[in-house]
Amino acid sequence: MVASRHILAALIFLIMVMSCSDDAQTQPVVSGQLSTAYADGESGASQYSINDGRGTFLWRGDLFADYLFSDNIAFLSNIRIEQDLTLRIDLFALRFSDIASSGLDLQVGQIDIPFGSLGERRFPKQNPFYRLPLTQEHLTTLCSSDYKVWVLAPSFAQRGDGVRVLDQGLYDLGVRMDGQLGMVDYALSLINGMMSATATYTPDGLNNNRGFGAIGRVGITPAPWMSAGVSYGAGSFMADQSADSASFLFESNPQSYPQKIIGSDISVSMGHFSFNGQAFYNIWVYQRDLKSFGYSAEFQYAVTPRMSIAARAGGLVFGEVEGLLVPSRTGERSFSGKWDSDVFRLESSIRYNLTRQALIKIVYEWNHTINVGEEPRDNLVVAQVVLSF
Amino acid sequence: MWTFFFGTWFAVPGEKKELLSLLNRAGFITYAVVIGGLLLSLEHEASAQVGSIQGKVVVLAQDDIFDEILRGQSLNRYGGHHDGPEPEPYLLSEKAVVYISSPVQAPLAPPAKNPSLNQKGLMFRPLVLPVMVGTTVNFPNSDLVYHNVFSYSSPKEFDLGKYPNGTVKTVTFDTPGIVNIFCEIHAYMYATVLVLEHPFFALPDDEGNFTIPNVPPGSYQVSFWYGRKVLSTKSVNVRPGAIANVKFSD
Repeated sequence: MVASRHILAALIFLIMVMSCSDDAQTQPVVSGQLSTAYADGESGASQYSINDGRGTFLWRGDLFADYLFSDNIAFLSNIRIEQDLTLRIDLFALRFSDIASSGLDLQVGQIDIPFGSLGERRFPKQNPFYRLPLTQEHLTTLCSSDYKVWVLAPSFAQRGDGVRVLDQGLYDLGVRMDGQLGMVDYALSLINGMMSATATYTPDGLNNNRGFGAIGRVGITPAPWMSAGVSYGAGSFMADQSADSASFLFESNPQSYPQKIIGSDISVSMGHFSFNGQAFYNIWVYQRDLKSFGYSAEFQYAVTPRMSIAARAGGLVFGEVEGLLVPSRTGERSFSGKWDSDVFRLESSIRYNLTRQALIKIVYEWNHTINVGEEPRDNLVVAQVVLSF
Repeated sequence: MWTFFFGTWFAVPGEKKELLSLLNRAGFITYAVVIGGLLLSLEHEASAQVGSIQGKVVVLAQDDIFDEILRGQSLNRYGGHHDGPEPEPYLLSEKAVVYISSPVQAPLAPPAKNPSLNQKGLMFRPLVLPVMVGTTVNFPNSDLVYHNVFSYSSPKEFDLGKYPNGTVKTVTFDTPGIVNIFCEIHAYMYATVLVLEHPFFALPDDEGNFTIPNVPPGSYQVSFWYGRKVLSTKSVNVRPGAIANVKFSD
């Protein structure tokens, strides 16, 4: 949700009012993370290049402002601002815990979508790398401005117009219910958008989809060292206006072309070692089904009390289409083949905790685009300092 | 020589052997009485050479440490549900320590039994643990979830990694100082290990009474640690065989 500075001012005011509470147990809890980074990448024509490969400084601030109204009612928020000075409110939810002693929790507002187990690794302190997994970042050749597959001119996607399979941190407007039965936990959410079309980056902070997306996850924790889950989601991923703008593709409204996605995730941690893996299979129902498979595997190891190393491999594999009508620079053409180039990213990092509140990390990203005539030069080195409070 | 000795012994007739046995027993009893008396007198002399510090701590202000922990637990976003032991407020003996904070001249050894800093109800228990330098502390996990105990404090940096319920890990504190302890998974979990150069510390009972026994005579600074910091420090003079009284209040 992109918000104006007025909202931040209102929020700060709200926090100040809340801090006047006399009850020690219902005080606001404000914490956050501030990070600055220097990124130096290669200058190839690639969506993964930062500032066209020019060495550049970056920064980001995350503010977590929470308030506990009572034992069972809480307000949770994440506010994010980066160097583009756009304020984004990722999470803004009221949470009702253990409703009627049923063990069920309910969240309403801007919620985090229960798909996979990204959890705290969304944030610079807990994320051993600089960016989110490639699966949440890659901009496909399906462009959000016209919902056409620009596979013959992929620079459209490189400019940031491509629809992501998983839309970054995965927050959206809606409701979410969580519960647990023994070692099994489950979550179900109903949102206005979909995993590929959250409201996080829309100008008005609203979903412009029609209908609802339903997403759920069932997890199991057979032992404290391991948890695993299966997620499923279905719903409309196209904006409403696409029926007109891409009318040559559609016979009915965008709701007839949903996103269907199934994923699995696993987390293992023992001693100084931890592993997080996820995989998903996605279908965008379209003129021809646009299929993709994504995966990510992440290892971390604490070498000393202050230093840890990490590696992550992730990629996206795209399906083939037959006779898909796609735009080109000279008009529409029939296209057969992979509707986007497969991509693979290997990341490695070393992280050192200066104090409990300050850490520094150095990340190297190796990006590989498969089956293209000339592979873009888009590898990246980032040094990042993170402060938390 | 041994052959001669045993040979002589075995050569003694039966009646004489009994007599000798009786004499031997009487001699042993006499010997034990003399040694025992000597030891008692030495002990009496030793206790007359040391004193003790006794007193009371009174804390009227309400601390919000437990509320902070409950808030942290309630606002947890990614930890899921916790089915382990319920958190309970700290007792005074778990969050208060009275200790000599100035140097003490005495030959000392760490305790034979390891004290424990438990993880229970998503809290460290006790909140503050005083130990003598060289002491090995047990870190048992009594919760059903993983914990990852670590410290970046300069007297002792360590990271025990993630470990489950029923597991006990240990750390030896070999440098005096204040060691702040955290859990990497549950950011609101916090405790302090006070590593002292001597064993002259006491945990007040629930009424606030405390006694530090066997203190060598001298003038000392005595500090009262409460919660997460030293609340006050006072001077005391310990005389041989006497009790020095000190009272702390917030």
